[in-house]
Amino acid sequence: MTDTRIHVKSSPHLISGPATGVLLAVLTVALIAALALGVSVGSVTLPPGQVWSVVWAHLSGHGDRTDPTLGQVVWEIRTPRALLAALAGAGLAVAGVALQALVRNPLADPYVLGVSSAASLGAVLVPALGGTALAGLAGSLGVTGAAFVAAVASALVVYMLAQRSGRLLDSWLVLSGVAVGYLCTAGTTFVQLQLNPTELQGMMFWLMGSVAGASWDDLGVPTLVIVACVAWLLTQARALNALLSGQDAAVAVGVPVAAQRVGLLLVGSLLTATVVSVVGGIGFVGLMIPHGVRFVVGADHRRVLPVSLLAGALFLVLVDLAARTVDRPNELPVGVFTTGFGVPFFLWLLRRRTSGGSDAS
Amino acid sequence: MRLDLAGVSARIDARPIVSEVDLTAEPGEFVALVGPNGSGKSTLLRTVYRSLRPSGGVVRLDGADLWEMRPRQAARHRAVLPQHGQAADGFSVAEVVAVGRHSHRKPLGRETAADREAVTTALRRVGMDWAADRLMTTLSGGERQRVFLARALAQEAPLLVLDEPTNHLDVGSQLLLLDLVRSLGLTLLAALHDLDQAAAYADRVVVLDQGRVVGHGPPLDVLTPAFIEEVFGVRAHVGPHPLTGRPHIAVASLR
Repeated sequence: MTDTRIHVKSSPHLISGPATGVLLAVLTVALIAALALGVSVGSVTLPPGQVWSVVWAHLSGHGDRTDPTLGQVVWEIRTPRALLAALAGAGLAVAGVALQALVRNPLADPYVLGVSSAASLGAVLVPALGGTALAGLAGSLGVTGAAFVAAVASALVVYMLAQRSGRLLDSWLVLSGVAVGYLCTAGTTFVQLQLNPTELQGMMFWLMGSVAGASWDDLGVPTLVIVACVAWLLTQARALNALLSGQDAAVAVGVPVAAQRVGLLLVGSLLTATVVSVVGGIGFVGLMIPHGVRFVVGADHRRVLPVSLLAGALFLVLVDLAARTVDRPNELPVGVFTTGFGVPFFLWLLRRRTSGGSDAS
Repeated sequence: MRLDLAGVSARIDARPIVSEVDLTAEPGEFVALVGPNGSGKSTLLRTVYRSLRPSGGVVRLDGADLWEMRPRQAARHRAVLPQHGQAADGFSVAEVVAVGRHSHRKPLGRETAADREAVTTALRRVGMDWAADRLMTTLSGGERQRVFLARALAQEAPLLVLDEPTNHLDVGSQLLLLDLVRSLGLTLLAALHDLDQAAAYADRVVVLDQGRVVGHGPPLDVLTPAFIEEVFGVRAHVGPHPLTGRPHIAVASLR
């Protein structure tokens, strides 16, 4: 009788079905354009022709015959920076989607499990431990490594607190995440008081989130981890839909709920921990992007996950571009911008949505 | 599909809730599980959902141990209409029903024509095909419950387990739902709290009290006024329904 494809026009979502493919294509093109812009524009704007001859020279494997300073700026500084922004944005957005489904609370974000606060604590501990017995350990981990270890540790602690004979309890997960987060924040504040102003300056920038200082060397491992985590999550779209139907309903349709949720928690936390350890606590992307995406394509994760991936990447590349151009040659922390742009946009979306009455019931 | 619970016991937090329950449902039979609040109905059903592993005994489907099956395999044998249907914001009716197809797909498999057909058929059977592209949040309680039933039907499983499916529905929606499940030709196991509905719709009733089976058989053989007073603590009148002629139970408090 009816083929669902005939109903496309009457879909309750702004964009659905085949149009999602178009949306993904548009976002991909926009992301490539934004990356190109990110490489060309900075504290000094370079002629696009020269920029691309540098990038092409590196990509094609031919020697770089342009001005070495220009080559260094483009290839060693701006290109990894733009790529890191895309990677972090995509990772945070997808982690947000996963963790919101895990705790079945659309207000959750990637930091709900205390991962961000723990990473900050790990980071500030490195200079603070200098000169103590643990200096060697802290030094060998580096700020990034320490942040990562602390973030993973907090996720594991939260997981252990929230599980009871293998089952995760939603409310405990959120409560223990928030509690561990507060504890780490208090720890961070305390440690900051012990630091000298120079150390503090470097830390502040990191605590607020930044993709500045990205280099090819520190892109490798995070890229692998983020790509692997995101790839796995993309295959879990249907299971996420089932989880949102309730625990019993999900078991009934054949989702191994307990194992599925542990998997989501571990992969979501690993993803967040990796992002936070390289770019710091960039707020709001993981909350806002999934919400904005749901507003446009509905809540079905088969669309939400890939669209959030691209939208998150695009958003953070653009925000980073803004952060380093509005007050040239000074740079502002990306986190200030994600929140500064994000909150008004988010509130506008919320108001619009409520007045539209789409969820009146 | 023959459902067979043999000596099933279940605990929650080490506290025994259900003790050594024997229960069978023959292919095509409607078995109603009745009992006072806290008698263990939902807990017993959870051992058939596979959301609570029995601490003793075995749940078999056509002789095969349900708990030995893989999750997807189990889902192709038994579908569930849980007590607390949840409709997350932003899902359309068709998307909710598509969740029922989980066990029919490979992890990376795309939605097939068979999946779309199953979703459409399930919605048509519950009379909700007109709403395929509506948001769940725009439907009434009775309509949502029929959509959740369609999700279970999309599993295409021969056994359907229902936990108090008429809860929170108005009388019209309650009877519509029971007529509907009765007409599906599936093996049905339903926890019902309304004795009158159990008597009118079920082929057999199983009565639980404090986690044990205290009566089982055809409704009129089991649900006598004396038995109802003993288990539920109410006076009961049992007779033919004045409008339908089906078994009818009217209750009143003892005072």
